[in-house]
Amino acid sequence: MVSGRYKIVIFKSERTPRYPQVVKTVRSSLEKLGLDLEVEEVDVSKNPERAVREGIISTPTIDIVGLNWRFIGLPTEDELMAVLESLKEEGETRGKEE
Amino acid sequence: MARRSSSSSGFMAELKERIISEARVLESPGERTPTGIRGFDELVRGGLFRGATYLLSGVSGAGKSIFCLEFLYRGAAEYGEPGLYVSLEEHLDSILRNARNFRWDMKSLIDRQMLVLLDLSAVAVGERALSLNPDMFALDGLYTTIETAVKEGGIKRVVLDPISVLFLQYGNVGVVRRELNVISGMLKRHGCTSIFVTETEHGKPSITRFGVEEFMADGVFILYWEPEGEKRSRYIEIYKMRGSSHYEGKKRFSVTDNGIVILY
Repeated sequence: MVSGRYKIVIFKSERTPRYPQVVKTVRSSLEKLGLDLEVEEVDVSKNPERAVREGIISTPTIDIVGLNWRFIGLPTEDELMAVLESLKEEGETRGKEE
Repeated sequence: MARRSSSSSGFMAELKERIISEARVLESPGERTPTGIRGFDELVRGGLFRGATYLLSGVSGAGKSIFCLEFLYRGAAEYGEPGLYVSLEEHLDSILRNARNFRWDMKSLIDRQMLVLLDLSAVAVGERALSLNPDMFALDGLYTTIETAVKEGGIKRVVLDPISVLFLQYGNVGVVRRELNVISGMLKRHGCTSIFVTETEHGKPSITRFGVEEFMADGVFILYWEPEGEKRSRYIEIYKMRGSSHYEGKKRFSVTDNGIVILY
Protein backbone atom coordinates (compact mmCIF):
# COMPACT_ATOMS: atom_id res chain seq x y z
CA MET A 1 0.00 0.00 0.00
CA VAL A 2 0.97 3.65 -0.20
CA SER A 3 0.50 4.39 3.47
CA GLY A 4 4.21 4.11 4.32
CA ARG A 5 5.26 6.91 2.01
CA TYR A 6 2.33 9.23 2.47
CA LYS A 7 0.33 10.66 5.31
CA ILE A 8 -2.06 13.52 5.90
CA VAL A 9 -1.36 16.23 8.44
CA ILE A 10 -4.20 18.60 9.34
CA PHE A 11 -3.06 21.82 10.97
CA LYS A 12 -5.65 23.54 13.15
CA SER A 13 -6.06 25.94 16.06
CA GLU A 14 -8.83 26.97 18.42
CA ARG A 15 -10.00 29.57 15.91
CA THR A 16 -9.95 27.35 12.83
CA PRO A 17 -13.26 27.80 11.03
CA ARG A 18 -15.37 24.64 10.67
CA TYR A 19 -12.62 22.32 11.84
CA PRO A 20 -14.84 19.26 12.48
CA GLN A 21 -16.00 19.52 8.87
CA VAL A 22 -12.37 19.48 7.68
CA VAL A 23 -11.63 16.24 9.55
CA LYS A 24 -14.88 14.70 8.34
CA THR A 25 -14.09 15.58 4.71
CA VAL A 26 -10.59 14.08 4.95
CA ARG A 27 -11.75 10.86 6.58
CA SER A 28 -14.70 10.31 4.26
CA SER A 29 -12.53 11.00 1.18
CA LEU A 30 -10.01 8.39 2.32
CA GLU A 31 -12.77 5.94 3.06
CA LYS A 32 -14.43 6.39 -0.32
CA LEU A 33 -11.10 5.86 -2.09
CA GLY A 34 -10.22 2.90 0.14
CA LEU A 35 -6.95 4.53 1.18
CA ASP A 36 -5.42 3.58 4.51
CA LEU A 37 -3.37 6.66 5.32
CA GLU A 38 -2.30 7.95 8.71
CA VAL A 39 -4.05 11.22 9.61
CA GLU A 40 -2.26 13.44 12.12
CA GLU A 41 -3.94 16.49 13.67
CA VAL A 42 -1.62 19.28 14.82
CA ASP A 43 -2.84 22.25 16.87
CA VAL A 44 -0.45 25.06 15.91
CA SER A 45 -1.22 27.10 19.03
CA LYS A 46 -0.14 24.17 21.23
CA ASN A 47 2.66 23.07 18.92
CA PRO A 48 4.08 26.31 17.47
CA GLU A 49 7.41 24.76 16.52
CA ARG A 50 5.61 22.57 13.97
CA ALA A 51 4.03 25.68 12.43
CA VAL A 52 7.44 27.36 12.25
CA ARG A 53 9.25 24.28 10.95
CA GLU A 54 6.66 23.43 8.34
CA GLY A 55 5.85 26.98 7.31
CA ILE A 56 2.17 26.98 8.18
CA ILE A 57 0.62 30.41 7.75
CA SER A 58 -3.06 29.65 7.98
CA THR A 59 -5.43 27.05 9.33
CA PRO A 60 -6.95 24.77 8.36
CA THR A 61 -4.10 23.47 6.22
CA ILE A 62 -4.27 19.91 4.94
CA ASP A 63 -0.78 18.75 4.07
CA ILE A 64 -0.53 15.62 1.97
CA VAL A 65 2.96 14.60 2.98
CA GLY A 66 4.85 12.86 0.20
CA LEU A 67 2.74 14.39 -2.52
CA ASN A 68 3.92 17.99 -1.93
CA TRP A 69 0.35 19.24 -1.99
CA ARG A 70 -1.46 21.48 0.45
CA PHE A 71 -5.06 22.51 0.81
CA ILE A 72 -5.69 25.77 2.59
CA GLY A 73 -9.18 26.26 3.92
CA LEU A 74 -11.95 23.71 3.63
CA PRO A 75 -11.88 21.79 0.34
CA THR A 76 -14.88 19.98 -1.02
CA GLU A 77 -14.77 16.21 -0.93
CA ASP A 78 -14.48 16.17 -4.72
CA GLU A 79 -11.45 18.51 -4.68
CA LEU A 80 -9.69 16.44 -2.07
CA MET A 81 -10.52 13.14 -3.74
CA ALA A 82 -9.22 14.41 -7.08
CA VAL A 83 -5.78 14.89 -5.52
CA LEU A 84 -5.86 11.72 -3.42
CA GLU A 85 -6.92 9.69 -6.45
CA SER A 86 -3.31 9.69 -7.67
CA LEU A 87 -2.26 7.87 -4.49
CA LYS A 88 -4.86 5.21 -5.11
CA GLU A 89 -3.61 4.72 -8.65
CA GLU A 90 -0.05 4.46 -7.38
CA GLY A 91 -1.09 1.89 -4.78
CA GLU A 92 -2.87 -0.21 -7.41
CA THR A 93 0.12 -0.08 -9.73
CA ARG A 94 2.43 -1.16 -6.95
CA GLY A 95 0.07 -3.96 -5.96
CA LYS A 96 0.19 -5.34 -9.50
CA GLU A 97 3.99 -5.09 -9.61
CA GLU A 98 4.25 -7.01 -6.34
CA MET B 1 -25.25 25.56 13.90
CA ALA B 2 -21.56 24.69 13.79
CA ARG B 3 -20.86 27.65 11.54
CA ARG B 4 -22.64 30.05 13.88
CA SER B 5 -20.75 28.81 16.91
CA SER B 6 -17.37 28.95 15.11
CA SER B 7 -17.75 32.49 13.76
CA SER B 8 -19.17 33.66 17.08
CA SER B 9 -16.16 32.35 19.03
CA GLY B 10 -13.84 33.92 16.44
CA PHE B 11 -15.59 37.24 16.84
CA MET B 12 -15.40 37.05 20.64
CA ALA B 13 -11.70 36.22 20.49
CA GLU B 14 -11.09 39.20 18.23
CA LEU B 15 -13.17 41.48 20.44
CA LYS B 16 -11.25 40.35 23.53
CA GLU B 17 -7.93 40.99 21.76
CA ARG B 18 -9.04 44.50 20.87
CA ILE B 19 -10.29 45.36 24.35
CA ILE B 20 -7.04 44.19 25.91
CA SER B 21 -5.00 46.11 23.33
CA GLU B 22 -6.94 49.32 23.84
CA ALA B 23 -6.67 48.98 27.61
CA ARG B 24 -2.89 48.69 27.35
CA VAL B 25 -2.69 51.77 25.18
CA LEU B 26 -4.65 53.71 27.81
CA GLU B 27 -2.32 52.46 30.54
CA SER B 28 0.75 53.93 28.90
CA PRO B 29 -0.21 56.69 26.51
CA GLY B 30 2.49 58.45 24.65
CA GLU B 31 5.57 56.36 25.35
CA ARG B 32 7.72 56.68 22.26
CA THR B 33 10.55 54.76 20.73
CA PRO B 34 12.77 56.54 18.20
CA THR B 35 13.19 54.79 14.88
CA GLY B 36 16.74 56.15 14.65
CA ILE B 37 16.19 56.95 10.97
CA ARG B 38 17.83 60.33 10.48
CA GLY B 39 15.22 63.08 10.27
CA PHE B 40 12.21 60.77 10.48
CA ASP B 41 11.55 60.99 14.22
CA GLU B 42 11.24 64.77 13.94
CA LEU B 43 8.49 64.31 11.33
CA VAL B 44 6.40 62.35 13.85
CA ARG B 45 7.35 64.53 16.83
CA GLY B 46 9.67 62.15 18.64
CA GLY B 47 9.38 58.62 17.31
CA LEU B 48 6.76 55.90 17.10
CA PHE B 49 4.41 54.98 19.92
CA ARG B 50 5.62 51.88 21.67
CA GLY B 51 3.25 48.97 21.06
CA ALA B 52 1.56 50.58 18.07
CA THR B 53 1.21 49.16 14.56
CA TYR B 54 2.16 51.30 11.58
CA LEU B 55 1.58 50.83 7.91
CA LEU B 56 4.34 51.60 5.44
CA SER B 57 2.89 51.94 1.98
CA GLY B 58 4.67 52.55 -1.26
CA VAL B 59 5.45 51.65 -4.83
CA SER B 60 8.20 49.28 -5.86
CA GLY B 61 11.62 50.89 -5.53
CA ALA B 62 10.46 53.57 -3.10
CA GLY B 63 12.68 52.30 -0.25
CA LYS B 64 10.21 50.37 1.92
CA SER B 65 12.49 47.44 2.70
CA ILE B 66 15.42 49.76 3.47
CA PHE B 67 13.22 51.77 5.84
CA CYS B 68 12.18 48.58 7.62
CA LEU B 69 15.68 47.13 7.82
CA GLU B 70 16.98 50.40 9.26
CA PHE B 71 14.09 50.55 11.77
CA LEU B 72 15.14 47.11 13.02
CA TYR B 73 18.88 47.73 12.76
CA ARG B 74 18.78 51.03 14.73
CA GLY B 75 16.39 49.51 17.26
CA ALA B 76 18.73 46.62 17.98
CA ALA B 77 22.08 48.42 17.66
CA GLU B 78 21.22 51.76 19.26
CA TYR B 79 18.19 51.25 21.50
CA GLY B 80 18.66 47.67 22.71
CA GLU B 81 15.34 46.54 21.19
CA PRO B 82 15.53 43.11 19.54
CA GLY B 83 13.82 43.00 16.17
CA LEU B 84 11.99 40.47 14.02
CA TYR B 85 11.76 40.68 10.24
CA VAL B 86 9.09 38.42 8.72
CA SER B 87 9.49 38.19 4.99
CA LEU B 88 6.42 37.02 3.12
CA GLU B 89 7.75 37.62 -0.37
CA GLU B 90 11.47 38.22 -0.72
CA HIS B 91 13.96 35.49 0.11
CA LEU B 92 16.22 36.21 3.06
CA ASP B 93 19.45 35.99 1.07
CA SER B 94 18.15 38.77 -1.14
CA ILE B 95 17.25 40.89 1.90
CA LEU B 96 20.67 40.32 3.43
CA ARG B 97 22.36 41.16 0.13
CA ASN B 98 20.45 44.42 0.18
CA ALA B 99 21.60 45.10 3.74
CA ARG B 100 25.26 44.60 2.76
CA ASN B 101 25.05 47.84 0.76
CA PHE B 102 25.00 49.69 4.06
CA ARG B 103 27.58 50.17 6.79
CA TRP B 104 25.48 48.09 9.17
CA ASP B 105 26.82 45.09 11.03
CA MET B 106 23.72 42.94 10.64
CA LYS B 107 25.68 39.70 11.12
CA SER B 108 26.73 40.62 14.63
CA LEU B 109 23.12 41.47 15.53
CA ILE B 110 21.90 38.17 14.08
CA ASP B 111 24.63 36.24 15.93
CA ARG B 112 23.63 37.92 19.21
CA GLN B 113 19.94 37.25 18.43
CA MET B 114 19.17 40.93 18.50
CA LEU B 115 17.82 40.51 15.00
CA VAL B 116 15.71 37.54 13.95
CA LEU B 117 14.87 36.98 10.29
CA LEU B 118 12.00 34.69 9.38
CA ASP B 119 11.63 33.63 5.78
CA LEU B 120 8.04 32.65 5.02
CA SER B 121 8.31 33.70 1.39
CA ALA B 122 8.09 30.20 -0.05
CA VAL B 123 4.95 29.53 1.93
CA ALA B 124 3.22 32.82 1.33
CA VAL B 125 3.87 32.97 -2.38
CA GLY B 126 2.98 29.31 -2.80
CA GLU B 127 6.09 27.56 -4.07
CA ARG B 128 4.28 24.24 -3.91
CA ALA B 129 1.06 22.81 -5.20
CA LEU B 130 -1.71 24.57 -3.40
CA SER B 131 -5.48 24.55 -3.40
CA LEU B 132 -7.23 27.40 -1.68
CA ASN B 133 -10.68 28.00 -0.32
CA PRO B 134 -10.41 31.70 0.52
CA ASP B 135 -13.50 31.99 2.71
CA MET B 136 -12.57 29.55 5.43
CA PHE B 137 -9.27 30.22 7.06
CA ALA B 138 -7.52 31.90 9.97
CA LEU B 139 -3.94 33.19 9.85
CA ASP B 140 -3.16 31.26 13.01
CA GLY B 141 0.02 29.69 11.68
CA LEU B 142 1.45 33.14 11.01
CA TYR B 143 0.14 34.33 14.40
CA THR B 144 1.73 31.51 16.34
CA THR B 145 5.01 31.70 14.39
CA ILE B 146 5.36 35.41 15.14
CA GLU B 147 4.26 35.08 18.76
CA THR B 148 6.72 32.26 19.38
CA ALA B 149 9.59 34.32 17.97
CA VAL B 150 8.48 37.38 19.96
CA LYS B 151 8.28 35.48 23.25
CA GLU B 152 11.50 33.52 22.81
CA GLY B 153 13.53 36.46 21.56
CA GLY B 154 12.11 39.21 23.75
CA ILE B 155 11.31 40.99 20.49
CA LYS B 156 10.30 44.65 20.67
CA ARG B 157 10.19 45.62 16.98
CA VAL B 158 8.45 43.66 14.25
CA VAL B 159 8.28 44.09 10.48
CA LEU B 160 5.81 42.14 8.36
CA ASP B 161 6.80 42.58 4.71
CA PRO B 162 4.56 42.76 2.70
CA ILE B 163 1.03 42.10 3.92
CA SER B 164 -0.22 42.76 0.38
CA VAL B 165 0.90 39.21 -0.49
CA LEU B 166 -1.67 37.87 1.97
CA PHE B 167 -4.45 39.93 0.41
CA LEU B 168 -3.39 38.75 -3.04
CA GLN B 169 -3.03 35.12 -2.12
CA TYR B 170 -6.14 34.66 -0.02
CA GLY B 171 -8.30 37.06 -1.99
CA ASN B 172 -10.80 37.59 0.81
CA VAL B 173 -9.89 41.12 1.87
CA GLY B 174 -12.31 41.18 4.82
CA VAL B 175 -10.97 38.00 6.39
CA VAL B 176 -7.31 38.96 5.86
CA ARG B 177 -7.97 42.37 7.42
CA ARG B 178 -9.65 40.73 10.43
CA GLU B 179 -6.77 38.29 10.82
CA LEU B 180 -4.12 41.00 10.58
CA ASN B 181 -6.03 42.93 13.26
CA VAL B 182 -5.77 39.89 15.50
CA ILE B 183 -1.99 39.70 14.88
CA SER B 184 -1.66 43.44 15.50
CA GLY B 185 -3.52 43.00 18.81
CA MET B 186 -1.15 40.21 19.84
CA LEU B 187 1.88 42.38 19.01
CA LYS B 188 0.42 45.25 21.06
CA ARG B 189 -0.04 42.93 24.03
CA HIS B 190 3.64 42.00 23.83
CA GLY B 191 4.61 45.67 23.64
CA CYS B 192 6.01 45.37 20.12
CA THR B 193 6.20 48.38 17.86
CA SER B 194 5.36 47.04 14.43
CA ILE B 195 5.48 48.03 10.79
CA PHE B 196 3.26 46.27 8.27
CA VAL B 197 4.36 46.90 4.70
CA THR B 198 1.98 47.18 1.79
CA GLU B 199 2.59 47.89 -1.86
CA THR B 200 0.83 50.35 -4.10
CA GLU B 201 0.86 50.51 -7.86
CA HIS B 202 2.85 53.27 -9.48
CA GLY B 203 0.76 56.03 -11.02
CA LYS B 204 -2.35 55.18 -9.04
CA PRO B 205 -3.48 57.73 -6.46
CA SER B 206 -4.58 55.27 -3.75
CA ILE B 207 -2.84 55.23 -0.37
CA THR B 208 -2.96 51.47 -0.20
CA ARG B 209 -3.50 48.73 -2.73
CA PHE B 210 -6.63 47.18 -1.27
CA GLY B 211 -8.15 50.25 0.36
CA VAL B 212 -8.45 48.67 3.82
CA GLU B 213 -4.91 48.35 5.15
CA GLU B 214 -4.84 51.91 6.52
CA PHE B 215 -7.79 51.31 8.83
CA MET B 216 -5.98 48.79 11.00
CA ALA B 217 -2.91 50.94 11.62
CA ASP B 218 -2.13 53.59 14.23
CA GLY B 219 -0.16 55.47 11.63
CA VAL B 220 0.42 55.42 7.90
CA PHE B 221 3.62 56.45 6.13
CA ILE B 222 3.77 56.66 2.36
CA LEU B 223 6.94 56.32 0.31
CA TYR B 224 7.07 57.09 -3.39
CA TRP B 225 9.33 58.42 -6.10
CA GLU B 226 8.98 61.00 -8.82
CA PRO B 227 11.12 61.39 -11.94
CA GLU B 228 13.39 64.44 -11.96
CA GLY B 229 15.14 64.73 -15.28
CA GLU B 230 16.95 61.46 -15.76
CA LYS B 231 16.92 60.63 -12.04
CA ARG B 232 14.32 59.67 -9.51
CA SER B 233 13.70 61.51 -6.27
CA ARG B 234 12.26 59.70 -3.29
CA TYR B 235 9.64 61.23 -1.00
CA ILE B 236 7.94 60.36 2.26
CA GLU B 237 4.63 61.58 3.66
CA ILE B 238 3.12 61.03 7.07
CA TYR B 239 -0.50 60.34 6.15
CA LYS B 240 -1.76 59.49 9.62
CA MET B 241 -0.26 59.40 13.13
CA ARG B 242 -2.87 58.55 15.73
CA GLY B 243 -2.40 60.47 18.99
CA SER B 244 0.20 62.89 17.68
CA SER B 245 0.68 65.85 15.44
CA HIS B 246 3.07 65.31 12.56
CA TYR B 247 4.72 67.06 9.66
CA GLU B 248 2.21 67.80 6.92
CA GLY B 249 3.26 67.48 3.33
CA LYS B 250 5.95 65.61 1.49
CA LYS B 251 9.62 65.42 2.42
CA ARG B 252 12.38 64.37 0.11
CA PHE B 253 14.77 61.69 1.33
CA SER B 254 17.90 60.03 0.10
CA VAL B 255 19.42 56.62 0.66
CA THR B 256 23.06 56.80 1.71
CA ASP B 257 25.52 54.04 2.61
CA ASN B 258 24.41 54.57 6.19
CA GLY B 259 20.70 54.41 5.56
CA ILE B 260 17.89 56.85 4.96
CA VAL B 261 18.29 60.60 5.48
CA ILE B 262 15.22 62.84 5.40
CA LEU B 263 16.15 66.01 3.54
CA TYR B 264 13.73 68.83 2.81
